[in-house]
Amino acid sequence: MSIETIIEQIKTATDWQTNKRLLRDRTQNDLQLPYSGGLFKITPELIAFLNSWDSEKIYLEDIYENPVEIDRFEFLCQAKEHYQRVMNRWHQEYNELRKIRKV
Amino acid sequence: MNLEKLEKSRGVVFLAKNTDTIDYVKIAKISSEFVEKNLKLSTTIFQPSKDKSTTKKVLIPTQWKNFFRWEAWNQTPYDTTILLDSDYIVLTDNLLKYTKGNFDYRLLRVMATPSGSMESYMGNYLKNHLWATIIVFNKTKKTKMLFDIVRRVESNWKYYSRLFRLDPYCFRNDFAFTIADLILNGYTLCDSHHLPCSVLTIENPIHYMGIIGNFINVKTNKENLVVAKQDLHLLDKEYILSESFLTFKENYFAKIG
Repeated sequence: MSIETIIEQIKTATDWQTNKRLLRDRTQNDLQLPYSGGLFKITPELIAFLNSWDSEKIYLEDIYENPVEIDRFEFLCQAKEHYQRVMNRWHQEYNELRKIRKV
Repeated sequence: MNLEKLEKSRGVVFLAKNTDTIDYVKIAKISSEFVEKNLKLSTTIFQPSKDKSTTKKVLIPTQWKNFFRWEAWNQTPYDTTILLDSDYIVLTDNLLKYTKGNFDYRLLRVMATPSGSMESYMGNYLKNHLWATIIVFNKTKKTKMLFDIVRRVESNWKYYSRLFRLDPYCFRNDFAFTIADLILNGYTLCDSHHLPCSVLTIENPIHYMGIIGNFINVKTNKENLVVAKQDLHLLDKEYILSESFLTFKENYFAKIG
């Protein structure tokens, strides 16, 4: 294998890691959801917490460290839908990126 | 009850002042097309009519005219304003969620590049200053104070540059807003007025931009990026004015409808 081929492969691998990281960074921004005057990052832990809590009114800390009153069931529905949409998109684009890498 | 007042107006403002080499007004017009397409918000471009610089003793070593951002508070016709650099290309509706909720202003804290977060230091004492690339603000008393302090910093740059150990010959809006935010929060570093997102900045000269599926291909003199659709901050202003970018814009609009 020539040195030029090795350099090209390393460059392709580097580009792939960069592109993969940029895609993930974009997804992390996308997971943020405004609700009831606050801004929340939707995570599996947040969804699990909302699912397991037993009262309908709850106060949650948002990204800006403010306590925000939440309608648990309504926010849970929105959070699940948002998380599903963003993760589906990430998965789809990740696979598309893998195919592009081989071009 | 005046129902019209219940709905606060939102819009995007660009401040553009041409230099000898760069037509910032044209760049702002191009950027405003992307804003109107993706954010569905009206845009306003302000051009300072004459040099109102009050920092008479500051030497401007380049043609980079970086003043007058404090005018945005007085000039904006909107209740909630997104103040953008003209080279910030809006390709998604991501910024809309930062206009919601109860807040005074939000400043950008993290600027990302393909190689990671952009480390940019402000003097010897404050690292990772804020970026004036995106400023989202409501017209409140606190926001007026912020812009008034920015104006004061600009007018008295010689003093503030010495206070913060900065280059007295290089005034930057980034530094002015960082100082204003610091002062307004009682000289403490506070995250409550920061945008919780990063902005991807392409620093290197761009050769080509195109669309591959749901991705944007950006070829610079150093890298070949395949970037998921997101807002981009392009430092290569000449490329934004080029035919190649015009082609990209047309293809992008044709794809998103």
